[in-house]
Amino acid sequence: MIVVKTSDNETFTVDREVVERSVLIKNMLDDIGENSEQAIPLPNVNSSVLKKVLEYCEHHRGEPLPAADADTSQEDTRKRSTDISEWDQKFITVDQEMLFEIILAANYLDIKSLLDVGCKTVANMIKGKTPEEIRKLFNIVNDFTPEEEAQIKKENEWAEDR
Amino acid sequence: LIDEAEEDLGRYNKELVRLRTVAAMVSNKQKTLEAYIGDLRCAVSPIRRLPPEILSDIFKYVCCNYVGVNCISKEKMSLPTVALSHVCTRWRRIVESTPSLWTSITLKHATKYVSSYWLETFLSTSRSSPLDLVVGYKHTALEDIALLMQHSNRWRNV
Repeated sequence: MIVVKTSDNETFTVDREVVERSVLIKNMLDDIGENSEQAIPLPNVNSSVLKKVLEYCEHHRGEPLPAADADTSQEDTRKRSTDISEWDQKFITVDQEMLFEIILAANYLDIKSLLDVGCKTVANMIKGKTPEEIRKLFNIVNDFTPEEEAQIKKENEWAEDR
Repeated sequence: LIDEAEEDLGRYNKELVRLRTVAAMVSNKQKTLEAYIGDLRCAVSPIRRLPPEILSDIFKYVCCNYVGVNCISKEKMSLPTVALSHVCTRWRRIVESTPSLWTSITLKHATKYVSSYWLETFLSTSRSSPLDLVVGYKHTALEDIALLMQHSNRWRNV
Protein backbone atom coordinates (compact mmCIF):
# COMPACT_ATOMS: atom_id res chain seq x y z
CA MET A 1 0.00 0.00 0.00
CA ILE A 2 1.12 3.54 -0.78
CA VAL A 3 0.48 6.62 1.35
CA VAL A 4 -0.11 9.97 -0.37
CA LYS A 5 -0.49 13.34 1.36
CA THR A 6 -2.64 16.15 -0.07
CA SER A 7 -2.13 19.93 0.05
CA ASP A 8 -4.51 20.13 3.04
CA ASN A 9 -2.43 17.53 4.89
CA GLU A 10 -4.84 14.63 4.57
CA THR A 11 -3.28 11.23 3.98
CA PHE A 12 -4.71 8.44 1.82
CA THR A 13 -3.53 4.85 1.84
CA VAL A 14 -4.03 3.38 -1.62
CA ASP A 15 -3.20 0.19 -3.54
CA ARG A 16 -0.06 0.60 -5.57
CA GLU A 17 -1.88 -0.61 -8.71
CA VAL A 18 -4.51 2.11 -8.28
CA VAL A 19 -2.18 4.99 -7.52
CA GLU A 20 0.21 4.00 -10.31
CA ARG A 21 -2.32 5.12 -12.89
CA SER A 22 -0.64 8.44 -12.17
CA VAL A 23 2.56 8.48 -14.20
CA LEU A 24 3.95 11.14 -11.83
CA ILE A 25 3.45 8.90 -8.77
CA LYS A 26 4.61 5.80 -10.66
CA ASN A 27 7.89 7.55 -11.53
CA MET A 28 8.28 8.77 -7.94
CA LEU A 29 7.79 5.22 -6.64
CA ASP A 30 10.29 3.88 -9.16
CA ASP A 31 12.78 6.49 -7.92
CA ILE A 32 12.34 6.03 -4.17
CA GLY A 33 12.02 2.25 -4.29
CA GLU A 34 9.47 -0.29 -3.05
CA ASN A 35 9.98 -0.13 0.67
CA SER A 36 9.70 3.55 1.43
CA GLU A 37 7.08 4.22 4.08
CA GLN A 38 7.19 7.96 3.57
CA ALA A 39 3.97 9.59 2.40
CA ILE A 40 4.20 10.97 -1.14
CA PRO A 41 3.41 14.69 -0.98
CA LEU A 42 0.96 16.05 -3.55
CA PRO A 43 1.12 19.81 -2.89
CA ASN A 44 -1.03 20.68 -5.90
CA VAL A 45 -4.03 18.49 -5.06
CA ASN A 46 -6.46 18.88 -2.17
CA SER A 47 -8.25 16.02 -0.46
CA SER A 48 -11.70 16.48 -2.06
CA VAL A 49 -10.16 16.44 -5.55
CA LEU A 50 -7.85 13.51 -4.76
CA LYS A 51 -10.86 11.52 -3.53
CA LYS A 52 -12.47 11.96 -6.95
CA VAL A 53 -9.23 11.18 -8.78
CA LEU A 54 -8.75 7.98 -6.74
CA GLU A 55 -12.37 6.99 -7.44
CA TYR A 56 -11.52 7.22 -11.15
CA CYS A 57 -8.25 5.31 -10.77
CA GLU A 58 -9.99 2.59 -8.74
CA HIS A 59 -12.67 2.14 -11.39
CA HIS A 60 -10.09 1.93 -14.19
CA ARG A 61 -7.64 -0.21 -12.22
CA GLY A 62 -5.88 -2.78 -14.37
CA GLU A 63 -6.76 -1.18 -17.70
CA PRO A 64 -3.78 -0.62 -20.01
CA LEU A 65 -2.21 2.82 -19.72
CA PRO A 66 -2.15 4.93 -22.91
CA ALA A 67 1.11 4.70 -24.86
CA ALA A 68 3.63 7.48 -24.41
CA ASP A 69 3.20 8.51 -28.07
CA ALA A 70 -0.62 8.62 -27.80
CA ASP A 71 -0.51 12.40 -28.23
CA THR A 72 0.98 12.15 -31.69
CA SER A 73 -1.49 9.57 -32.93
CA GLN A 74 -4.38 11.63 -31.55
CA GLU A 75 -3.34 14.46 -33.84
CA ASP A 76 -5.22 12.52 -36.47
CA THR A 77 -8.61 14.20 -36.62
CA ARG A 78 -10.47 10.94 -37.04
CA LYS A 79 -9.35 9.83 -33.59
CA ARG A 80 -10.36 13.01 -31.73
CA SER A 81 -13.78 11.74 -30.82
CA THR A 82 -15.52 13.44 -27.91
CA ASP A 83 -17.39 10.29 -26.89
CA ILE A 84 -17.21 9.51 -23.17
CA SER A 85 -18.17 6.16 -21.64
CA GLU A 86 -21.29 6.02 -19.49
CA TRP A 87 -19.42 5.52 -16.22
CA ASP A 88 -16.94 8.33 -16.98
CA GLN A 89 -19.78 10.63 -17.94
CA LYS A 90 -21.53 10.02 -14.63
CA PHE A 91 -18.23 10.39 -12.77
CA ILE A 92 -17.46 13.75 -14.38
CA THR A 93 -20.94 15.20 -13.77
CA VAL A 94 -19.72 17.67 -11.15
CA ASP A 95 -19.86 21.45 -10.74
CA GLN A 96 -17.50 23.59 -12.82
CA GLU A 97 -15.16 24.26 -9.90
CA MET A 98 -14.60 20.52 -9.37
CA LEU A 99 -14.45 19.79 -13.11
CA PHE A 100 -11.54 22.19 -13.65
CA GLU A 101 -9.84 21.03 -10.43
CA ILE A 102 -10.01 17.44 -11.70
CA ILE A 103 -8.53 18.52 -15.06
CA LEU A 104 -5.68 20.35 -13.31
CA ALA A 105 -5.05 17.41 -10.98
CA ALA A 106 -5.06 14.93 -13.89
CA ASN A 107 -2.57 17.14 -15.71
CA TYR A 108 -0.32 17.44 -12.64
CA LEU A 109 -0.53 13.75 -11.76
CA ASP A 110 -0.13 12.82 -15.42
CA ILE A 111 -3.25 10.66 -15.76
CA LYS A 112 -3.86 11.05 -19.47
CA SER A 113 -7.16 9.19 -19.72
CA LEU A 114 -8.68 11.33 -16.95
CA LEU A 115 -7.34 14.51 -18.52
CA ASP A 116 -8.99 13.45 -21.79
CA VAL A 117 -12.33 12.84 -20.08
CA GLY A 118 -12.15 16.33 -18.53
CA CYS A 119 -11.14 18.03 -21.78
CA LYS A 120 -13.85 16.21 -23.75
CA THR A 121 -16.45 17.24 -21.17
CA VAL A 122 -15.50 20.92 -21.46
CA ALA A 123 -15.41 20.60 -25.27
CA ASN A 124 -18.92 19.13 -25.26
CA MET A 125 -20.08 22.06 -23.11
CA ILE A 126 -18.62 24.52 -25.65
CA LYS A 127 -19.84 22.85 -28.86
CA GLY A 128 -22.62 24.64 -30.73
CA LYS A 129 -22.50 27.74 -28.54
CA THR A 130 -21.97 31.34 -29.61
CA PRO A 131 -19.07 33.35 -28.09
CA GLU A 132 -21.56 35.20 -25.87
CA GLU A 133 -23.08 31.92 -24.62
CA ILE A 134 -19.57 30.56 -23.90
CA ARG A 135 -18.68 33.71 -21.93
CA LYS A 136 -21.87 33.39 -19.90
CA LEU A 137 -21.33 29.67 -19.26
CA PHE A 138 -17.78 30.09 -17.93
CA ASN A 139 -17.96 33.65 -16.54
CA ILE A 140 -15.44 34.96 -19.04
CA VAL A 141 -15.14 38.71 -19.52
CA ASN A 142 -15.14 40.19 -23.02
CA ASP A 143 -11.82 42.05 -22.78
CA PHE A 144 -11.23 42.87 -26.45
CA THR A 145 -9.80 46.28 -27.28
CA PRO A 146 -11.90 48.53 -29.57
CA GLU A 147 -9.55 47.61 -32.45
CA GLU A 148 -10.03 43.88 -31.81
CA GLU A 149 -13.80 44.42 -31.49
CA ALA A 150 -13.79 46.12 -34.89
CA GLN A 151 -11.89 43.18 -36.41
CA ILE A 152 -14.29 40.68 -34.82
CA LYS A 153 -17.26 42.66 -36.13
CA LYS A 154 -15.74 42.47 -39.60
CA GLU A 155 -15.22 38.70 -39.25
CA ASN A 156 -18.81 38.27 -38.09
CA GLU A 157 -20.01 40.12 -41.17
CA TRP A 158 -17.97 37.72 -43.31
CA ALA A 159 -19.42 34.77 -41.44
CA GLU A 160 -22.97 36.01 -41.93
CA ASP A 161 -22.60 37.04 -45.57
CA ARG A 162 -24.79 34.80 -47.66
CA LEU B 1 -59.92 75.36 -3.00
CA ILE B 2 -58.41 75.46 -6.49
CA ASP B 3 -55.33 77.31 -5.18
CA GLU B 4 -54.84 74.72 -2.44
CA ALA B 5 -55.21 71.84 -4.91
CA GLU B 6 -52.71 73.47 -7.30
CA GLU B 7 -50.27 73.93 -4.42
CA ASP B 8 -50.63 70.22 -3.58
CA LEU B 9 -50.14 69.33 -7.25
CA GLY B 10 -46.95 71.44 -7.37
CA ARG B 11 -45.63 69.63 -4.29
CA TYR B 12 -46.43 66.27 -5.78
CA ASN B 13 -44.70 67.19 -9.04
CA LYS B 14 -41.57 68.28 -7.13
CA GLU B 15 -41.69 65.07 -5.12
CA LEU B 16 -42.00 63.04 -8.32
CA VAL B 17 -38.96 64.79 -9.82
CA ARG B 18 -36.99 64.10 -6.63
CA LEU B 19 -38.04 60.45 -6.57
CA ARG B 20 -37.16 60.01 -10.26
CA THR B 21 -33.70 61.43 -9.56
CA VAL B 22 -33.26 59.05 -6.61
CA ALA B 23 -34.54 56.12 -8.76
CA ALA B 24 -32.03 56.98 -11.51
CA MET B 25 -29.20 57.12 -8.93
CA VAL B 26 -30.20 53.77 -7.42
CA SER B 27 -30.50 52.26 -10.89
CA ASN B 28 -26.97 53.48 -11.73
CA LYS B 29 -25.61 52.05 -8.49
CA GLN B 30 -27.39 48.77 -9.24
CA LYS B 31 -25.76 48.59 -12.69
CA THR B 32 -22.33 49.40 -11.24
CA LEU B 33 -22.77 46.69 -8.61
CA GLU B 34 -23.92 44.15 -11.20
CA ALA B 35 -20.85 44.92 -13.32
CA TYR B 36 -18.64 44.59 -10.21
CA ILE B 37 -20.19 41.21 -9.33
CA GLY B 38 -19.69 40.14 -12.96
CA ASP B 39 -16.02 41.18 -12.81
CA LEU B 40 -15.54 39.28 -9.53
CA ARG B 41 -17.19 36.17 -10.98
CA CYS B 42 -14.89 36.41 -14.00
CA ALA B 43 -11.85 36.92 -11.76
CA VAL B 44 -12.53 33.68 -9.87
CA SER B 45 -13.86 31.75 -12.87
CA PRO B 46 -12.28 28.28 -12.64
CA ILE B 47 -11.61 28.07 -16.39
CA ARG B 48 -9.07 30.90 -15.97
CA ARG B 49 -6.85 28.50 -14.04
CA LEU B 50 -6.36 26.19 -17.03
CA PRO B 51 -2.95 26.63 -18.69
CA PRO B 52 -2.94 27.40 -22.44
CA GLU B 53 -1.84 23.89 -23.44
CA ILE B 54 -4.92 22.34 -21.79
CA LEU B 55 -7.23 24.96 -23.31
CA SER B 56 -5.64 24.21 -26.66
CA ASP B 57 -6.36 20.48 -26.17
CA ILE B 58 -9.99 21.28 -25.32
CA PHE B 59 -10.26 23.45 -28.43
CA LYS B 60 -8.91 20.55 -30.55
CA TYR B 61 -11.83 18.44 -29.36
CA VAL B 62 -14.16 21.24 -30.51
CA CYS B 63 -12.49 22.06 -33.85
CA CYS B 64 -10.87 18.81 -35.03
CA ASN B 65 -13.08 15.96 -33.87
CA TYR B 66 -14.22 15.02 -37.38
CA VAL B 67 -13.33 15.88 -40.97
CA GLY B 68 -14.74 19.24 -42.13
CA VAL B 69 -15.77 20.77 -38.78
CA ASN B 70 -15.64 24.36 -40.03
CA CYS B 71 -18.30 24.67 -42.70
CA ILE B 72 -17.92 27.44 -45.28
CA SER B 73 -21.24 27.26 -47.07
CA LYS B 74 -23.98 29.49 -48.38
CA GLU B 75 -26.55 27.22 -46.76
CA LYS B 76 -24.94 26.63 -43.40
CA MET B 77 -22.02 28.78 -42.32
CA SER B 78 -20.62 27.27 -39.12
CA LEU B 79 -17.12 28.19 -37.96
CA PRO B 80 -16.41 26.85 -34.42
CA THR B 81 -12.73 27.81 -34.68
CA VAL B 82 -13.67 31.43 -35.38
CA ALA B 83 -16.31 31.40 -32.61
CA LEU B 84 -13.65 30.33 -30.07
CA SER B 85 -11.40 33.18 -31.21
CA HIS B 86 -14.24 35.65 -30.49
CA VAL B 87 -14.60 34.79 -26.79
CA CYS B 88 -11.78 36.81 -25.18
CA THR B 89 -8.21 37.94 -25.90
CA ARG B 90 -6.64 34.94 -24.19
CA TRP B 91 -8.68 32.44 -26.20
CA ARG B 92 -8.06 34.43 -29.40
CA ARG B 93 -4.28 34.28 -28.85
CA ILE B 94 -4.42 30.53 -28.21
CA VAL B 95 -6.65 29.82 -31.22
CA GLU B 96 -4.56 31.94 -33.56
CA SER B 97 -1.33 30.32 -32.42
CA THR B 98 -2.59 26.73 -32.76
CA PRO B 99 -2.43 25.81 -36.48
CA SER B 100 -4.19 22.45 -36.07
CA LEU B 101 -7.41 24.24 -35.02
CA TRP B 102 -7.67 25.63 -38.57
CA THR B 103 -7.30 22.36 -40.48
CA SER B 104 -10.79 20.83 -40.55
CA ILE B 105 -12.76 22.53 -43.34
CA THR B 106 -15.92 21.88 -45.35
CA LEU B 107 -16.32 23.95 -48.51
CA LYS B 108 -19.58 23.74 -50.44
CA HIS B 109 -22.26 25.95 -51.95
CA ALA B 110 -20.27 29.01 -50.92
CA THR B 111 -20.38 32.37 -52.64
CA LYS B 112 -16.95 33.02 -54.11
CA TYR B 113 -16.29 36.24 -52.23
CA VAL B 114 -17.00 34.77 -48.78
CA SER B 115 -15.42 31.37 -49.35
CA SER B 116 -12.15 32.87 -50.58
CA TYR B 117 -11.85 35.11 -47.51
CA TRP B 118 -12.33 32.22 -45.07
CA LEU B 119 -10.48 29.65 -47.13
CA GLU B 120 -7.41 31.90 -47.30
CA THR B 121 -7.68 32.58 -43.56
CA PHE B 122 -7.91 28.88 -42.69
CA LEU B 123 -5.17 27.82 -45.10
CA SER B 124 -2.71 30.48 -43.94
CA THR B 125 -3.41 30.09 -40.19
CA SER B 126 -3.12 26.30 -40.37
CA ARG B 127 0.45 26.85 -41.67
CA SER B 128 1.95 23.44 -42.52
CA SER B 129 -0.50 21.22 -40.58
CA PRO B 130 -2.25 18.36 -42.41
CA LEU B 131 -5.69 19.33 -43.77
CA ASP B 132 -8.96 17.42 -43.33
CA LEU B 133 -11.28 18.59 -46.08
CA VAL B 134 -14.80 18.08 -47.35
CA VAL B 135 -15.19 19.75 -50.76
CA GLY B 136 -18.39 19.94 -52.79
CA TYR B 137 -16.47 20.51 -56.01
CA LYS B 138 -19.54 20.93 -58.26
CA HIS B 139 -20.58 24.05 -56.40
CA THR B 140 -17.18 25.42 -55.53
CA ALA B 141 -15.51 28.31 -57.34
CA LEU B 142 -12.58 27.30 -59.54
CA GLU B 143 -10.39 29.85 -57.76
CA ASP B 144 -11.05 28.07 -54.46
CA ILE B 145 -10.26 24.67 -55.96
CA ALA B 146 -7.03 26.16 -57.35
CA LEU B 147 -6.20 27.55 -53.92
CA LEU B 148 -6.79 24.15 -52.33
CA MET B 149 -4.63 22.51 -54.98
CA GLN B 150 -1.71 24.71 -53.93
CA HIS B 151 -1.91 22.99 -50.54
CA SER B 152 -2.44 19.44 -51.85
CA ASN B 153 0.77 18.27 -50.20
CA ARG B 154 -0.99 18.87 -46.86
CA TRP B 155 -4.22 16.98 -47.64
CA ARG B 156 -4.73 14.20 -45.11
CA ASN B 157 -8.44 13.48 -45.60
CA VAL B 158 -10.45 14.73 -48.60
